[in-house]
Amino acid sequence: MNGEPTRIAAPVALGASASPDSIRRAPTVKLRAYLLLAAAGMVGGLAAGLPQLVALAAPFAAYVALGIALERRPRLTVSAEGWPDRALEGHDVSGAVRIQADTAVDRIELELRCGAGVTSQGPLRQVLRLGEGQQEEVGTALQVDRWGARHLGTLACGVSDGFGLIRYELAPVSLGAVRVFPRGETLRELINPLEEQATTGSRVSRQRGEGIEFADIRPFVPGDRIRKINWRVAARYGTPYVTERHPERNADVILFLDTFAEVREGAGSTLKLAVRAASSLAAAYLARRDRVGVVGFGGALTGLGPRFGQVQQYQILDALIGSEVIFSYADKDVRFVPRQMLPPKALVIAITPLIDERFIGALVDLRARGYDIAVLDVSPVPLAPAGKTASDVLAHRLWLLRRAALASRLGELGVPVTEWRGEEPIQVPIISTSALRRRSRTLAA
Amino acid sequence: MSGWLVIALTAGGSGLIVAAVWARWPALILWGLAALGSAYAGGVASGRDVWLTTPLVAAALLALGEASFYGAERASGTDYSGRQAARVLLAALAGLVVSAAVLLAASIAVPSSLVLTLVGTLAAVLAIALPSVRFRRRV
Repeated sequence: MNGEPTRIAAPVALGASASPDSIRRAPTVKLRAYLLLAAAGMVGGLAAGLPQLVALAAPFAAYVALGIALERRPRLTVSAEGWPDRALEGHDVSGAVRIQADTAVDRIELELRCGAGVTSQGPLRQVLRLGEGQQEEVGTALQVDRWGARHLGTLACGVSDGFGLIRYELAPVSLGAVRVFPRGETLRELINPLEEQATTGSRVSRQRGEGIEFADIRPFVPGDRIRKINWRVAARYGTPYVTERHPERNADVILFLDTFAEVREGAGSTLKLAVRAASSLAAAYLARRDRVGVVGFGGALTGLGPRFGQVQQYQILDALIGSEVIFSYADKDVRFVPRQMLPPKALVIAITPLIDERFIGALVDLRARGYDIAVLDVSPVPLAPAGKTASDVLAHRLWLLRRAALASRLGELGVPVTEWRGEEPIQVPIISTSALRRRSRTLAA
Repeated sequence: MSGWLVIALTAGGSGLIVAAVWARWPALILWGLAALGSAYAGGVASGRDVWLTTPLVAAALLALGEASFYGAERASGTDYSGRQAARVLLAALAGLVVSAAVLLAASIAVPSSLVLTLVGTLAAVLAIALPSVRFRRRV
């Protein structure tokens, strides 16, 4: 999955439709206007004794009478077909609307009402004319701006008779709901954990044991396998030497998502960035056969324990698209997180805007418990620019200084903090984090 | 009715219809047509020769109403301009015939009050009873 955008299952057809039985009939503005004009002319003519006024109003009355007398109830079926139930953030969602007319219909008005967060690529209103027994399929494409569960919208269908006096409204047809997965990014380098787990994986461990990658050569000791003897070195020194290798292990990676608070401005949001980062990281780590789990730590605690495989990736995506900030005054700490979600020796990647003290406290607590932590700071700074007054600018500078001090304090605790503003690929802060971790290990050594 | 009032009603009615089409507000068309009809009624009261012009004006008003409603309710993707133009012409022709027939009926040697009473009663019954009967029926 690494390097590939999230794969989506095949579209599923929806059977939403509006049948002829659900037609509602109503007079149009034109009918009311012509009736009023006809009545006014007739009454005026009678009152004033002027047959000319009656003659002026008579065509309107005749038009209404003819239109109502020749009215035929339309019979048509509108159905939405081929709309997918899964999509990728920012990608088009296309489907069709099929209209089957059992009677000739002079004017069919289709109006698409998009759901929240959904925009249309084509015209929202279309007018058709169908003969008896004809059917028409109108295709359209929608774009979903943000991940999450979205209602695509409804299609309102109105039919006017040939005279435009009576309008028939069909029950709106739902286009269904779509689960929009966050857009993933290609990650070539990842943050390596300090310790691996005991199970086999694709990650070359720092430990020595059975493996492929060369680690060292040492003298033979009783108990070593004969097949491990390095015969060239043994021949050169005259005593047996064995080759040591690095075993291939996997790691447990926990994506620790801050859902206490978010900063939002227009279409931008720290939670949106956080979910995008978590999605990319989950896909990349799972592709390397690591076990990945996700914990949404906020007003409501959500999460998945670490597991392998593609099924886990879809479960993580499902968990991520349900991420939302739930405001809460409750004082929470990591004791609330089930132990299965935070296994020992796991690499915890915290994705947070660093604005809620409870989450920062949880990070410090986890570090004190010996967890290997890296912080990806989805920066709220671009979303909260300085005000215009001098005091606003000063307050903004103080806020920036406080954030820098916080990052420095966490760095001193062995928790590297890397800022990501969402403008550059997520690979950039990941590489920076890896470099920071290497530097801190070198300094510690 | 004074000439200025007739001119004002004509201008106001035309403006209302243009505004209705421009703003896609069909409810304005009623008032526009009513204003134009009132302006013509002012001309009738001033004693002009109306026996010839009334059918033409009636046909023109109906055609104007049809065209205005089409313009106010237009939608993208429509290709009905030709059909609608034919429909407007047909409506105008039919309006001309109906209006002339009413005038002809009014001019025959029967008391005009009787004709007016009959026509008015019939129109009132049609205007009230027919829609009531039609719309009371459940779909």
